[in-house]
Amino acid sequence: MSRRTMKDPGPFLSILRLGMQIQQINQKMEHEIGVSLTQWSLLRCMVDNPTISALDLAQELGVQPSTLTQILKRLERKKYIFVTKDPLDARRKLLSLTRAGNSTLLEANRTIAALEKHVKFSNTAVREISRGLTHLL
Amino acid sequence: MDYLFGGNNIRVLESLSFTETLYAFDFDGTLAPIVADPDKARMSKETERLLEKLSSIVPIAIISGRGLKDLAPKIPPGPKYLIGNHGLEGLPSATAIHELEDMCGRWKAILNPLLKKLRDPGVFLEDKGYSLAIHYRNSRLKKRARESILAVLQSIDNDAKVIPGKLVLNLVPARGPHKGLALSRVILHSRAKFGFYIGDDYTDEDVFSINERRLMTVRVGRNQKSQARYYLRRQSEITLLLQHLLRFHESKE
Repeated sequence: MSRRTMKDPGPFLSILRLGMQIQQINQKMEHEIGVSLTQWSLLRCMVDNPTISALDLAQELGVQPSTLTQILKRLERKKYIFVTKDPLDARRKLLSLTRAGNSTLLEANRTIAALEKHVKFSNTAVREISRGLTHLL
Repeated sequence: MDYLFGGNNIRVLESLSFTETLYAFDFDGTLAPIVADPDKARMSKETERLLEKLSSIVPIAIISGRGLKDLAPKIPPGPKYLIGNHGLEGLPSATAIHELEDMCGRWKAILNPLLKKLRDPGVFLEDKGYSLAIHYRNSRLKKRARESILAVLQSIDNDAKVIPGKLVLNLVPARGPHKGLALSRVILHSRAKFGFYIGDDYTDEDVFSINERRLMTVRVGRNQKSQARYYLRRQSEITLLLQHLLRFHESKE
C-alpha cells in the first residue's frame, strides 16, 4: 500500500469523511427546517403519491423497504405523515402527507433551491462518485 | 369500503390537494339525483355553484353514460372534460365513430318492436347516439321488466355488450372504450399526477376496478361488493364533498 499523507488520505478515508459531512448536512437541515435530506426525499415522493404503501414507496425510491421503516416512524412522530388502513385490504397500510408535512416540504423545497445556487460541484461529479461507491457494495 | 367523511379519511382527501389531481364525476346519481324522468335530472343550484367554482381552480371531468348532446346543457361552464356515452364521446383526440351510429340504428330497429310486445308502459328505449339505454324505472313490476328486457336483448349480436345500471340496461359496443379507459386517457391528457373519481352505478365499477394506485375511488351509496375504496352515504352529500375540496384548494400555499 502506498504511503498516505495528511493531504492525500486515500479513497476510503475520503468516503468516510464524505459520509460524515452528509450526516452533518442532514442534521443541520433537520435542525433548521425540520427535515433532513433523507426525510425530504421521502416527502417529495409521497406528496405526488397520496395513499402510497411503504412497499411501493421503497420501489419508487429504489431502496429496500426496511430502510424506510425508521424514517417513516420519525416522520409520523413529527406529524408530517399519517397512516391509514387500505379500505379494501386492512392488512395494507397507506401513507399520506399531513397539511403540516406539506408546508414543511414546500419550505424545504424553497431552502434547497436557494442552497443549490451555492453548490460548486456538478451532477456529473456526484454521479461519478456514486458509481464508484456502488462498486464497493 | 370506508365512509369518506369518517376518521382520517377526510385527511386522505385533503392530501390530494397537495399535488396535481384531476377530479372526475359521474352525473346521474352522483352530481344530480336520480329522477323518474331522465330529461328532468338536474344538479341542485348549490352543487352547480360549487362545481363551477371548483372548476376554476382544478381540472374537472364529467364522465357519464348520457350522450354529450344531452349532458352538456346540464353542466355549468368550467369542467375541462365532458365525456359521454360511457367513454365513447368527448375523449381528447378521439375521432367520430360513425359506424357506431349505424350499429345503434340496427339495434334500435330490432329492439323497438320486441319491447313494444312487452306491453309495459314503464319500459322505454333511449337513443344516445352511440349506445342505447332501456329504462324500466317506471315499470310497476321492475323485476319482471328486467328479465323480459334481458330476454329481448338475446336477439342482439355479439357486437353489443350489456351493462346494467340502476333500473336501466345499457347496450354499448362490445369493443368500445368504457368509463375506466376514458378516465385513464383524460388523466394522461391533463398531465395530472393523481386522479379522483366518484360514481354511483355498476357502470362506474369499470373505474373502481382499475388497478391503479394513483386513483382515489368513491361510490355514492355503500355496497360491499363494490371495488371503490370509499363511499358517501347518499347523493346529497355531494355538496359537502365539493365544499371540502374547495376549502382544501383555496387554503393551499
